[in-house]
Amino acid sequence: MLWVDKHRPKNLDNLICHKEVGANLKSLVASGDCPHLLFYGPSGCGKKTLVLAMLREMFGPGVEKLKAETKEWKIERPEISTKIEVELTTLSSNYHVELNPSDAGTKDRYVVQELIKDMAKSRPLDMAGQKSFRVLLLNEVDQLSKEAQHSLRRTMEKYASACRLVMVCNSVSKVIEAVRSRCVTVRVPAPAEAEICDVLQYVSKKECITLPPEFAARIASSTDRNLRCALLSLEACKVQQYPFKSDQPIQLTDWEVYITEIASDIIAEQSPKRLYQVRGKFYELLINCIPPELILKKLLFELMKKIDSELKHEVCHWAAYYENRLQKGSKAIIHLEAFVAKFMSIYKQFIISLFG
Amino acid sequence: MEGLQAALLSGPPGIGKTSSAKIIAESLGFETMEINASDTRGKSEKDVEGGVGGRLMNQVREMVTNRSMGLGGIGFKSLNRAKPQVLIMDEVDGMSGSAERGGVADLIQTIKISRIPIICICNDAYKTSIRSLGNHTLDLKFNRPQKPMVAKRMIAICQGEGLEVDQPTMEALVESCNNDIRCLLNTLQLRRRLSTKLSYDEVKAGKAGKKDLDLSAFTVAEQLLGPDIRRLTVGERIDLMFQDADILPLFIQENYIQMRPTDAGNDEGKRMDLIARAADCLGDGDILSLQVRKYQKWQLMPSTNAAFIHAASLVTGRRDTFDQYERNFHRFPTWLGKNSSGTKCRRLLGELHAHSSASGALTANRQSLRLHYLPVLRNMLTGPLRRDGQEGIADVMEIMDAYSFNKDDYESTLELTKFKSKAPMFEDPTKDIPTAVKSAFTRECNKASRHLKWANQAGAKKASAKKGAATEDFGAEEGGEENGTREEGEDEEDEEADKEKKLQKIAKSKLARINFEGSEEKGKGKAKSAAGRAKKPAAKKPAKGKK
Repeated sequence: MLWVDKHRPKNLDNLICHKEVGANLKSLVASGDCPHLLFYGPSGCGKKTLVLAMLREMFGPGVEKLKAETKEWKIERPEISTKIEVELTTLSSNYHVELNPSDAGTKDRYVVQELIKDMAKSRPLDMAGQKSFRVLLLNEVDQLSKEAQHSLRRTMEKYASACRLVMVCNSVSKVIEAVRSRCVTVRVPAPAEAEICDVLQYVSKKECITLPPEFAARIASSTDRNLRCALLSLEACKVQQYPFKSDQPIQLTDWEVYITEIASDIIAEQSPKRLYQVRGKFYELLINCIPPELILKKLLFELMKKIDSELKHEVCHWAAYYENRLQKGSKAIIHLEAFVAKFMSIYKQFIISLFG
Repeated sequence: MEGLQAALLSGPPGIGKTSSAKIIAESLGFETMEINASDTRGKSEKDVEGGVGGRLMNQVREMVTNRSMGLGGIGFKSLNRAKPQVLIMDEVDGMSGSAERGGVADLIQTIKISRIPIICICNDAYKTSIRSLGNHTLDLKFNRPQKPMVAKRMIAICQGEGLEVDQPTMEALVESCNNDIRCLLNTLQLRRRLSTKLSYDEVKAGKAGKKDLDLSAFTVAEQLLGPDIRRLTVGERIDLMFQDADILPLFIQENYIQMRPTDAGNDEGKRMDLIARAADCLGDGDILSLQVRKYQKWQLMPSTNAAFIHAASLVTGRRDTFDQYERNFHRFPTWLGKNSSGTKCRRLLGELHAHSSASGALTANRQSLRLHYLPVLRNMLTGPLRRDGQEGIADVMEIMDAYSFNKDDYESTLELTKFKSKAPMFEDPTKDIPTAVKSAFTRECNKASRHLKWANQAGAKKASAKKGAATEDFGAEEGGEENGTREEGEDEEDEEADKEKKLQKIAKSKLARINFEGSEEKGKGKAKSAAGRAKKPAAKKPAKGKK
């Protein structure tokens, strides 16, 4: 198992970061009941780890006995006289069901209206000493469409006695106000770099390897305070070269390298032909499931490293502009390409005005 | 011709395939029995479960055997008693569709046992569903008759009917009907009802026939991006877009970079600027079309098209090639193929995520799995095999077990992290693994003792359903001798090819809808080249219209 998963804290007591959040959750669970919860924070900050540790605290080790099911649900919609089929994977234990409703894409509304309502309705068998409610763990609620989120509102109130929702998301601003106000929101911030270094040292000690503090600090700073990323990167570096040297290069991920390549392509030549080649590379990234927003962001950062400071402001403006359009449109390639075309046009004019 | 009991006539509609079949049968003294395959099949669906052949085939078989037994064989000496029969199966390609694929196999079976001649008629002999029919029939291709030929005959008919038309007018009319004789005759008959004269201008004004009858998307794209578009009004351009509002934006998106805009002249900076502006317009179009599709705001459709037209008109000019050996024709949109590969990869990632979440080890979401885990897993899963050979297998299996990966997931991991690039990082990581190690690893993966923590119900169901369909398909053929088995292999190969070349499949289905002129060249995989050739004659059309 990769270190990042192997050394995941299992209960709320031995956390290294987010100790305070852990303590709060512990006292919440100790009271016997719990409200609906909404965990939010950037990717790789430990939301899920906290949630799982909390569930363990709540229900005991039984929650770790997981069963995965991929089922095709048929939903009757008499008013539009069609049957909607949704395939969804659920991960469940006796005490909770975990699912990712946004996987259903445009059909997420039906998942919320039908499946979640169904699951929320059914009460757990009231065994002695057990909690009288089940937990529904919903991932990526910020990816849900607004319609789906609205459908969630009623369910949350009506079936509150039998079921608690624990929702996890990256950006709380994409969750509608109505849902937010029905939950206790738990902010899980990205761990500080010092905390990440502590975790890295802890893992290294467990794995019996020596990690020079400077190198740990470099990993922490290069991974954008993403703990998951830092741990994976540590392991990747270990595979690459061990014992560590403090000037050892940190392994970049494949897509980062590829986007860097695109950025240098763009700087090297601004022509329709180059734009066409860049399009091909964008397609590669999109096919490999790299989210377009991330491509745009990373590309902007790479371009920023290489352009004259006079242009930076303008380029940033356009990157933001095209990211907005990316969200509003459906075909990512068009907007990515439009950004590059715009950049090439600006950059070319700039070069011409500079050298005549 | 020896030994073949059936013929397959193929060609575009309205050029006299059915008539030819009937005339030939009549002149040889046969009694014709025509079965319109698409009609009968429609009925059989209700009565017969499974839809394979069903009532149609029952009738056909009965007829085919009845006659021959009653007559004791077909021969001309029996002419005195009763006319010999010929079976005309019209529109056999209409008998397609995934559920009724067995219908073709059934028909082949009928051909094998039949003692009377069978004439099958279809539009497209290369259609996958009826391709196997070609092995059992005499292939007769009908091409569109030449324009002057048709015009001459039509003029003769018009004279007989009292409609006054001259040669150039008729030729223009023939062209507007796409050499379709049936359509032409209908148009002329309607015309005769109204008046006794048809002038050239009327034909050109589109009063007599439908002017833009089935323009191919290639033609329209060429028109929209070509320099002549400036002569059309915006309204006319929007009408052009409505030829196929789904695919044309993609055509423009695919090819706009390659244009050398007339407005820019030789100014490369201006050219880049125009392309950037066109890209913006495409973006507008995309945003609008999302509103149309997702929220059903169809009133925005003209605006959507206007955005795409704006994009096209910014870059109108000569088309340029980037590569010396590239052919200077508009490309078929690659977006379709890329999108379907993207969908496939998203599905793979979904499976990967489901499997590894089931192991309980992974808590990351899909995106994070792809972004952070997969690059590391790619190295961890191939590194040991590369370095330590056989000994490395245990290390890899440990990770595979921890995340409940099967061999497919292993492949998916590599597939999802594959990039086209020359950089050493993107080399195929399995390149240096010896074959012996690879096969030992595969054996290890497939060991029954491996306990994976997930049950793939949906996937398994699909797989078995597919298997069932396949056996059903070929069930009818199993009665046959060697022929039948050979067929089976071929069809399976087709399916494999279909899977791998999704792009081509999509291109073909799209093209079939577009119905471009060069349909006789419409071979699988040749779609692009055929289309390239097809647009040449078509491109002349608009230019002529102005004169």
